[in-house]
Amino acid sequence: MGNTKIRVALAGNPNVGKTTLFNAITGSRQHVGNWPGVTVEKKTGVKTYRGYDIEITDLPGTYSLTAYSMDEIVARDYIIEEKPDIVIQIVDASNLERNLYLTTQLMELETEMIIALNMCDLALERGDKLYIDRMQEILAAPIVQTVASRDIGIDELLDRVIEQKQDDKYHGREIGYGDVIESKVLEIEKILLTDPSLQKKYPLRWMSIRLLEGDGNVKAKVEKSPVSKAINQLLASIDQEEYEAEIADKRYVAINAIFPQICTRCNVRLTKSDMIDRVLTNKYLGIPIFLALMWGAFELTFAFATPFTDMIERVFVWLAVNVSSGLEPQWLASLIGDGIIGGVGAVLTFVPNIFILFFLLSLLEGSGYLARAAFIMDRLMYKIGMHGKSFIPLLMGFGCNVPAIMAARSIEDEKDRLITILVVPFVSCGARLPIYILLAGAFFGRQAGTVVFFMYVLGIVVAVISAKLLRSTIVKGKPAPFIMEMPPYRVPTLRTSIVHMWDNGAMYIKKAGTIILLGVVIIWSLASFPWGIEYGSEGSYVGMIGHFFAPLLEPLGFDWKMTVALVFGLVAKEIVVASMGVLYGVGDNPAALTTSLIADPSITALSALSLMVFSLLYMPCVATLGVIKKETGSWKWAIFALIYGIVVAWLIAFLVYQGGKLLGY
Amino acid sequence: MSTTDKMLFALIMGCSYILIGMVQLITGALKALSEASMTEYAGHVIADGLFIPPDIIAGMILMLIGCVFLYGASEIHSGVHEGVAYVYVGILLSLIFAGIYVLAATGDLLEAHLLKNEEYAGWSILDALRPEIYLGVLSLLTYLKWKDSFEVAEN
Amino acid sequence: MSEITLDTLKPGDMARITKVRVKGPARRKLLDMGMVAGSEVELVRKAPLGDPIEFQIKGYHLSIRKEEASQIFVQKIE
Repeated sequence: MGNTKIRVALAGNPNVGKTTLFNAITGSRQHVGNWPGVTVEKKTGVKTYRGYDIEITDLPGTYSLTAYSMDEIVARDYIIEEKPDIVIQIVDASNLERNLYLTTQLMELETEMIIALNMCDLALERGDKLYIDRMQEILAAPIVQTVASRDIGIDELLDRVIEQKQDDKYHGREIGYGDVIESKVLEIEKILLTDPSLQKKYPLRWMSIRLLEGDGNVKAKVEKSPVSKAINQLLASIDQEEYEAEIADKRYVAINAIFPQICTRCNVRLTKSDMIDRVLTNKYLGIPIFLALMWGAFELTFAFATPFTDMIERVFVWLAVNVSSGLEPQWLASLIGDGIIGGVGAVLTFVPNIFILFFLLSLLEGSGYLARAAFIMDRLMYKIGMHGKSFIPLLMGFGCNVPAIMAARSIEDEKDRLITILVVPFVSCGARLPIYILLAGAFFGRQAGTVVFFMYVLGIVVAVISAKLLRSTIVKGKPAPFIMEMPPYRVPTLRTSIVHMWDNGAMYIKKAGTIILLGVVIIWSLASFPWGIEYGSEGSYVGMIGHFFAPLLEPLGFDWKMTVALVFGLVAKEIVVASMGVLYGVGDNPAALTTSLIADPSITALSALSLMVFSLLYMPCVATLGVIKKETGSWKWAIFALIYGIVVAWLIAFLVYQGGKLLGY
Repeated sequence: MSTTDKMLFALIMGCSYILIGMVQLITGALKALSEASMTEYAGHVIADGLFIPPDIIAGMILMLIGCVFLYGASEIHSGVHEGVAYVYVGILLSLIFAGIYVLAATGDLLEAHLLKNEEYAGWSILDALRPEIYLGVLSLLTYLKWKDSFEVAEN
Repeated sequence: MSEITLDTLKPGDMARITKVRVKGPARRKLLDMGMVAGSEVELVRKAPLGDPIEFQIKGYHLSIRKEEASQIFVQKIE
């Protein structure tokens, strides 16, 4: 006999330990994906408990259930449309007042509710007194005290879920909004009652209140109904802004009325979190400390990942040699050796970096520092048309653009996020450094360091200008308002960080990996055919493409060899160097390559500089394109990034080369 | 522990971090600017003796941590009780950076002994020792000793 | 007592909100976060570059930009 299924949704404010609780309940049995049609992350997991299969859906963390953000719409649509058996709201016991605001809204959705009073330990420790019985009575919902980070209260919570499921009676409660609003609510309800289909789908009172608040999303739901005209008429006759404020106000009034009955607190003294903040957002020390921590994170990412990257590389080199050597026919050996194993290897060597970066990012987020980072950098970012939250992804871009674009997920506003995703590729990632080192080293001698530094600066300048440009053209409008909770600092839980790291790392391997593999096979075919020529030589299709595009790139000072190298750079920018090695027939020998580059009369210092500029900007690598597609949900933006990059790169490289020639270099 | 003790500790730590950071910054800058080998530089005995590798950025970070300590010391000195917060964060920062270099050293260790990478030939555990680590250990000991006094001060 | 806007407060100042004049989606969000008439706020600190500003409200910390703060009217509590 199969187990009875109970569908449970987890709701709650951000920073209340929702993810920790979710992980504590479901363990490793979870599935991460996206909500249909949007890029908001959807997590589900199943827990078998006392003969029940409890299926848990982790809703996005929200402060409210209005239509302010995609997160809020997703969360409330799930509750209204999918009708889970039980909604568990996770409430931060040390911050009841604001958390109960969401509770008042959940009540109106007419769903069975259980409240998990999380982080009770913190609240009790600082001297708060919580009256749980009184709270259950007033809120008409079972309350379970939990400390998710230490697995306390999880079983009791699941017991309550089962009890609630067995009990068919609906325990509802709602708050009153005062005579003026209530009479309007009644009027709207009366109109809505004339359309039974609407009434069956959504809670009546909830719809009425939302309409009074001017909720566009609910309005759209009503629009198709025959009653829409009467509703619009009624709404046109009132000052909606006034009602919006009044309703929010009344919710807080209701909370203020019950709050003193369920919790009395005695502490307002300086907490440890405030102490830390005093230093970390200090007028003079705040920014330097932030930059130091970021630098430390990079140092760690690369220093600690190196041995693992090396191991992966060795495994793939070994594989390429051993697997392909015994294979017949030769083209198959080449496809598998040079193409697939080489390509997959190129993808997987990023994995240690990505795992560590995400682990550290999760530590920053879990500790509460990420909010401070946005707070510190917002003014600067706002000036260039971005949001404070865009800073971390941009900074991560110096390591690798792929996780940087994935990190942009923490930006709620769609436009802000899109701009961040589109400008990250201009930030010079680690893979571009070998190109600079080779060319600057060969042609600029003692000035090499300055030239490389200039490349990094150029990347930042182009990113900043692009952000401004995009803001005034395609993605019009101002950055979203900065209205952000500064959560108290906490020691992040290891389990949450590891799960976060694993989810994102796996996502990269799965999604980006397939696209990269495809790209690699295409490049391999171009380099290997027509059959019989040397891999990637002048006679191959890549060579032909090089020759074909050479006239286009001639004004930038490139010959066909450089063009071919740039085509290979699509896969991953460090391949530019390797393919130049192939084209100059020196293989994997940097010293020999340097000598032959200097000896080649068609490359001058100026064209080398132009080539560096072009490599920096010309296009995101295949991995980055794959992630852009995934994170924006459409090929449109990936293609836009590709074309925009090429155009910008061409223009700037043209300016550098022709300008330099005019100046007599 | 009294706040006077904390002030003294912050003063000592602040000065050590700033001085060592300066040596690291200067040697780093000299190394970047000149091709001359480090042995020609007169102060290399100090740098070598204290295991200070030439490193501009790491030097700046050491000096920053020193500033946090000194800021705390001066706040406590002028009677602002919250100055203790700077000492607390100073200890936290020194622990974070000590942790980073310990992990980085683990990476080097793996390269040298597990992967036997040629570039890491001759790498010894002494190469991993740097001021971030030994100053961090000092911080850790102090933190363990004062842990409870921080709790009391904050509540 | 005269009405001032939220952004003119100094760190440590307490005030009571009288009117939220912010328009658009930011209004909705501010209301949800507890910036409603009658709420008491305390300016905790300004960011190192002077903007945004961090407040304590309803027992937690919220930071908003000066731009929005200048459209929130308050009465200072001495």
